[in-house]
Amino acid sequence: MESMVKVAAVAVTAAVLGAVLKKNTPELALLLALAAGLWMLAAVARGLGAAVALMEELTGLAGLSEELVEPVVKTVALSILTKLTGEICRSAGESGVAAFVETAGTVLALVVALPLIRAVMVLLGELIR
Amino acid sequence: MDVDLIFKIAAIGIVVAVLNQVLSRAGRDEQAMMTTLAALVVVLMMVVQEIADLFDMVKTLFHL
Repeated sequence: MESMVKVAAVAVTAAVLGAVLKKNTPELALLLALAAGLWMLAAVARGLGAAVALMEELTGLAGLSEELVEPVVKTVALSILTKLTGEICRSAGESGVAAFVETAGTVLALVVALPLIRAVMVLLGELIR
Repeated sequence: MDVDLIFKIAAIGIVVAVLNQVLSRAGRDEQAMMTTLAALVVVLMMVVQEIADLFDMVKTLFHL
């Protein structure tokens, strides 16, 4: 609750300051938005870490191997970075670059998930045989 | 990371805007442009450090 209040305060402050900067120095307004976003992400990093820790705990309880869960975690990290970068590019008015970033993120997520798909195929093959 | 960074960027932006106006009125448009560029580089240096921190954070969080 406390961190949400903090995040809200920083977001409103950044929005107001950004509106001030946008008139004369739009490029600095963009960097300000970026800095505010990074601060907010850093503020909730601990919560994200707790979620990841819980996921690892559940994996241990279920007796799953690390390789099975790793693609999921990697995809989450990739999607966070992709979303963030895309939105920053879009707010800079470069929707084209944002689209490329999103496509690249999708491709990388697919590459990360490939071993998982292959494992499913192997499993299916063994089941059929 | 500190909230001060946001205020710092805003302060730099406002100062640069004022300098820009003064220099433009004085007929030194090229110097005004250089001031804006210098401020941009300074702020970019500050933000790039934070981006690197973010990448490190994501790496350590997800054990990548």
